Amino acid sequence: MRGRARIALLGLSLVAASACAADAPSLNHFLVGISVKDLKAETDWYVDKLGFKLTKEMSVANGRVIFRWLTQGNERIELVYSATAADTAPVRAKPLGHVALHGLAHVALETTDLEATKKALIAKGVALAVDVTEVKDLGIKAIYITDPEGNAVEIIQRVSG
Amino acid sequence: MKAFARNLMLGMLGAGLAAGPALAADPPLSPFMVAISVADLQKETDWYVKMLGAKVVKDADFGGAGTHFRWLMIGTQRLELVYSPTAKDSNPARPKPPGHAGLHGFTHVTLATPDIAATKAALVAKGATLALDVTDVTPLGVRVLYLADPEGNAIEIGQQVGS
Repeated sequence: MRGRARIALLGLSLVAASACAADAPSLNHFLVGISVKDLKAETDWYVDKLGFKLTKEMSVANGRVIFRWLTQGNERIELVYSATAADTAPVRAKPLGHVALHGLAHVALETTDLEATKKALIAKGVALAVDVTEVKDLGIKAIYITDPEGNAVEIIQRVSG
Repeated sequence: MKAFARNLMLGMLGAGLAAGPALAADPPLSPFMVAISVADLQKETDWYVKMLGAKVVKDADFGGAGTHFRWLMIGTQRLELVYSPTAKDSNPARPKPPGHAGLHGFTHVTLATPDIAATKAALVAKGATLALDVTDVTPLGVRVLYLADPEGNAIEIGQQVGS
């Protein structure tokens, strides 16, 4: 009796395990969305300063909502323009104060050479919101820049781990 | 005529070479992570672990004023949960998806799945509530659903169905 119960339990847990494996496909990075006021100014900045390319666009509700996909290597950013969108209150502060408002705070991109990236950005007229800062516990060094609407973009280089 | 064409080609080559070093100083950028400022670090962590299979990979205190960074990995997606004891909510709060673009700023993180029906079934089995059920976005070639984490941050899961 006890043995049979144990076998039944074992059977149940095997069923549960295989169901889990079959039912939960792996999830991976796809994109990050940003709601923007000025679709053109935002698009131009990501294209000119960070080398993104405009790859897809979709307009709905007679242009009152527009989705635009920008890609750069494996990174995809979705700019969403909505005619009725408002600013957060208070407006999200510049880095590093940007985490003082709950919610999605920044996107981080990885470079193999932070000094070269910094130099290239400065040559393109981009101001650094935070200059090169090492975060030893996370094994990175990073800079912050902000897009024309104040959204924080962190660029990191791994220094260990 | 031939000489002209050759000079033109050399001229173009020269311009290409001149552009070369400037581009070389501009290393390619790749995805690294998305950061979320959270009110309840434990609750947020638990949700990402339970619902999306996230693994906690790093924890770090920062600046000595109670700010804490926690890195989670979901496949190739790294999420940084940032807890700052002085952080506040936006008022009004960001609407739940699909109205989440109603406030400017970062709106959502999208994860890719190879099988959205299976992902949906697994999420529902774990007690997740869909903020937006499976919806085809034909012009973008994706089929998506939306979840909101315990603090209302929008997580989109998408399967590519077209080009």
